[in-house]
Amino acid sequence: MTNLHYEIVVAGGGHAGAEAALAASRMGCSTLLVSLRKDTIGQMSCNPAIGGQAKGHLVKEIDALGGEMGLAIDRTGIQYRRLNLSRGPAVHSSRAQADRKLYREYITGAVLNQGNLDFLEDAVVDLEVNGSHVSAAITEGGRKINCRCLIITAGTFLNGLIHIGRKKIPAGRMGEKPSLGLSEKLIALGFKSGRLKTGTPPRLDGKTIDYSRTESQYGDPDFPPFSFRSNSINGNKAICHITFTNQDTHRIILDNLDSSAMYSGQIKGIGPRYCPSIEDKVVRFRDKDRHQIFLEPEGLDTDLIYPNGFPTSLDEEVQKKAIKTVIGLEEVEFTQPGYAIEYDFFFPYQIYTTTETKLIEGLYFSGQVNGTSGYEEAAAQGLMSGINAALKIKNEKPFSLLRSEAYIGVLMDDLTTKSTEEPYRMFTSRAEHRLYLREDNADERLFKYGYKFGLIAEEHYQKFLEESAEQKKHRQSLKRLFIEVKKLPADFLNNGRTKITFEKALKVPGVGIDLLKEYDDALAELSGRILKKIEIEVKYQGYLERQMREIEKFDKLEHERIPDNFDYAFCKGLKTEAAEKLNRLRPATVGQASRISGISPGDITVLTIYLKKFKEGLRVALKEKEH
Amino acid sequence: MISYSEDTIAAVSTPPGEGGIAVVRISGKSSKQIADRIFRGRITPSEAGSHTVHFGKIVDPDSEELVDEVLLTVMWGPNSYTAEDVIEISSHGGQLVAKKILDLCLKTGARHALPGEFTQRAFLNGTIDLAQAEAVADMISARTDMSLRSAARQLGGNVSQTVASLGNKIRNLLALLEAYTDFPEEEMGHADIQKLTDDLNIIKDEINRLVLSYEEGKVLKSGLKLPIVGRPNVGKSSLFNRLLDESRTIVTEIPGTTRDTVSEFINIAGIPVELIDTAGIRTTGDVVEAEGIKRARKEIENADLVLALVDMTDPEILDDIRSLTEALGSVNYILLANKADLIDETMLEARKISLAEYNPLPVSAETGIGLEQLRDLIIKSAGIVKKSSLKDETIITNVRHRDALSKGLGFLDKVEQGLEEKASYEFLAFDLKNAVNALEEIIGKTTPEDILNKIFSQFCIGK
Ligand SMILES: Cc1cc2nc3c(=O)[nH]c(=O)nc-3n(C[C@H](O)[C@H](O)[C@H](O)COP(=O)(O)OP(=O)(O)OC[C@H]3O[C@@H](n4cnc5c(N)ncnc54)[C@H](O)[C@@H]3O)c2cc1C
Ligand SMILES: Nc1nc2c(ncn2[C@@H]2O[C@H](COP(=O)(O)OP(=O)(O)OP(=O)(O)O)[C@@H](O)[C@H]2O)c(=O)[nH]1
Ligand SMILES: [Mg+2]
Repeated sequence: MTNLHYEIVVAGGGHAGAEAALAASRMGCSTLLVSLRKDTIGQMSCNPAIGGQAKGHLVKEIDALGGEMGLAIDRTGIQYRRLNLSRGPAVHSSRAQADRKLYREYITGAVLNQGNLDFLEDAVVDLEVNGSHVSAAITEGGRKINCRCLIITAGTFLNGLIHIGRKKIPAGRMGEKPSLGLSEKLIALGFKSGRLKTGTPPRLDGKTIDYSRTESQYGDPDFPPFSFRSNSINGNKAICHITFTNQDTHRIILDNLDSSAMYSGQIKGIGPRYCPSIEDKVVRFRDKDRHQIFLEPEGLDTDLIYPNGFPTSLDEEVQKKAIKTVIGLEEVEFTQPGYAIEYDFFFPYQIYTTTETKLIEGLYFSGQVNGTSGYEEAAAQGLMSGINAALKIKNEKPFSLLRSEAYIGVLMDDLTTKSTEEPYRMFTSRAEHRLYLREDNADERLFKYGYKFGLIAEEHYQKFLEESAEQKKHRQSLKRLFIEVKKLPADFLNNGRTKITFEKALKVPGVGIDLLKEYDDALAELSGRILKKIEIEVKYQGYLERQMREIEKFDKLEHERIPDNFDYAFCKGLKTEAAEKLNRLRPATVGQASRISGISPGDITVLTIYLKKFKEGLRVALKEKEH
Repeated sequence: MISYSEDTIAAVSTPPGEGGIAVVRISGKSSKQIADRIFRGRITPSEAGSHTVHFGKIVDPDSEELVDEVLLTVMWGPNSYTAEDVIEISSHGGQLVAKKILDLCLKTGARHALPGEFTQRAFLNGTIDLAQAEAVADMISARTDMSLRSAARQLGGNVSQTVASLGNKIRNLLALLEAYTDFPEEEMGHADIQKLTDDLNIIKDEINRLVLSYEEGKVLKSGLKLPIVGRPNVGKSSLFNRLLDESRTIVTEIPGTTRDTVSEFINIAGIPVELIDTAGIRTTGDVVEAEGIKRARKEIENADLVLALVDMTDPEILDDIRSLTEALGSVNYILLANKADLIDETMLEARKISLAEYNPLPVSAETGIGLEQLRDLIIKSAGIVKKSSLKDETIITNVRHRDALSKGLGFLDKVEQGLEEKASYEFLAFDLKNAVNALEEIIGKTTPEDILNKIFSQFCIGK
């Protein structure tokens, strides 16, 4: 057996694995990325798109912390859009169609060219544990890699099983073998696993599609880059098309439900309710006479089309028959059928918000193996894993984000406190402090951390500081600049005044900063990014201030830490089940404890009372020691 | 965690209506300063030794106007109940004076204590030990359920169920808006704003009804204040006793016998009525009586309704009525002509005609004439229609609940405003969420912080 030595080993080269490996190595740790195939590093398993509602927020946060995803999509996207622009700024989100191949190549390049980071094409099948600390990863190829931290990011590969109708194929995703054996080893170590499922649509040959009868959807011309660190984007080079299913499609699906892996009871894993298969949609929403399908190009030098909205695990022939009823797809050819995949995951209550497992020190779970779904969710966790593993190597304090600081904070907190009933996807409604957690201020919220960890370069950080200063300065200047009322929309009630401050004017509905900058040269010189920030700050000042007050109130509990050695069994008033649950989940703060499902407010009360006494006891004990 | 602030709190810590002595308790950093500002005695409170009692006066520091003579007890931290600087002011003036003193404390820097806040501070500062804290914790669930249940039975409603159901209705709106926010416009289309507004208004109406029911709930819980006023010897004490159906106060033939206020609760059609006998109103040289008269005036200020009594046999009855009604001003009152048993039919008719302008109700404390009618009038004049209690609807009797509902209503107003201004859904959702949180402070479902505060609120205020 070959012996290798690394400080950190990352098992899996997907979206979680790539971010983890890049962050760890960039923070100066010797890192090895092990993945099943070199040619699938950064592969998008499903939809060739990054961002979207709430996911765009995650990408911006990953970027502000020094992750790669934002840079990658800025370089490799082929259509960029801003969603929800008719709504308030908190729910504006960025989404881009990626060139699947370019994206993968970009990530692969980043990984292979990164210093401190080596790559090994192999499968991690076992691990060695010394006491309660991980000490090595064992690979299928017979290598033992000694390490202090091991990050598992095996995605949908653990005991992966593809379903197409009644056909079953063991696989990690189409065309790739599953990862066998590792789950069992982890279970033997005491981890609890479950089974989830997800699905993907067939891939179509674009040459066989009649676009003339579909709607076209174009990118947004002034799309601001995802990354603070990019100056431009790859550009809007592709067009998406929209078409619909119809009653014929639905009838074919309903007549052939018994051929669906989902409906014939073949699949035991639970699928996401928010991303239902087409057969699910047809059955559950029988009164809907059509469902939308987006025809998304997979890249610039390919004719492959991804029919977003049509994931299915029906029999391949039924899939074809059904999709051919859709307008524009009458003659369509498949290059690959849609399928569902079942895979093992580990209940995420077994990790801390740092992604480190509670059972074994130095062992981290990240990405889909924690029951999440989506590239952005995976990448966010991967980044947290990489940062935290590196901090562990350096003997520094672990890093977590609060719910009030970032969607990543919400993500990690939800994973560790909520029970997993379906694959977890981010939504803006999961963030109670949504009005503050915006795409536009991700840098303000998180750059400081990325910089501190050395993941954000000095030049970018300096630029950020300059922009912040400019923003503050000009925000103030709005109070001193005046605009004539007659230049504002006519229906504005001016109360007899002829002039009002820019600040007041900006609060008038329909008045934007773009109008005001026409009347002030200094403002006109500012970048669009700064102007937008100022506009949001002023226009929504009332809501934002109230949101900040809510956060202040909320965060008090988040700072109330529960000592690691606190024994819930001693809390007499606590219900037995509650004590057991708390002992098992070991929440880090009272805030977290209060969000654990099944923990009642009464339990929290009792807990606080004991905690207070516990801390007091500790103080007394320490004092006695001193004397 | 527990909202523990460094500010100074104050509250009346004796239960309403019990005994003659009322105690105002102050705890916190500025207790000393507050006492120094409002107390006039041989010593300056802040210089007094801990655990000492001092006689003196409470005055309004702005006008030096006397409020009452009191006993001031000082207990400096950490050897006090809350481990903070605590001052207790005992007055004999009853609730009204206590309330005045409390107002002065609030004016000079204290904040009104939340229910149970003294106990909460005691706990946080470690003067209650673990066993006691456990006892508190053990009591919580039982207390909550019981008090809510008994209140429910008593008032024919159930606050927590009503609040929970309101919370759910708001959550439904919230869920709707969230769906439109989190799923793309292409799929969801737009929310039905009219329907949303209608639903919101139904919820608002219901909360509003609950908020208003507090007026009734307060009366049902703490009673209707009903002082009997009038010139000396018109029969106030006699009427008081008659209504009380038992003799508790001295009834004499010498004008000016009642020198203080005496009060007692009676039950009129299920409503607790606090009947207050007062000293006759007239100018007097007797200091003690003058004080009693002053108190009578204060009772009038605080009354929900006044029984204004004149003597039917008094030849100058018209003058008396005029000066009495003038003294009462805008206060809600019922005019009664007592001793109706002493005059005959024809005289009575003559009087009725001459007094038609004032239309007093003839009564007799001696024989009970007109008292049945009086009881009806009391119920009617007090504005107690007993709508809610009759219809078995939930009534709010707790001021904390009322405040939480008002706060929730305030957020829902913001939602309504947002709907009018076509605000984006996430803003509406923000205030809907705030509204749910506000309402659920009542049942303590929101956050542990609120919960802990709730536990302590199971105690009487100021205890
Ligand atoms: C069929 C299908 C449909 C999906 N549908 C959706 C969807 O509709 N919406 C959505 O948001 N997301 C969807 N996804 C999920 C999305 O692809 C994942 O959430 C995301 O890729 C997870 O990233 P990851 O890094 O955790 O894992 P993956 O991207 O799955 O990467 C796992 C990596 O680990 C490697 N690996 C596995 N086991 C080992 C091992 N033992 N040793 C070393 N390397 C190993 C693999 O080679 C692979 O490179 C779908 C995925 C699939 C497969
Ligand atoms: N016949 C008759 N006598 C009454 C009636 N009400 C009171 N009296 C008599 O009137 C006298 C004065 O009665 P009180 O009840 O003491 O009068 P008051 O208004 O309380 O007087 P002060 O407290 O001194 O202000 C007593 O002698 C009572 O017996 C009544 O309705 N009929
Ligand atoms: Mg009397």
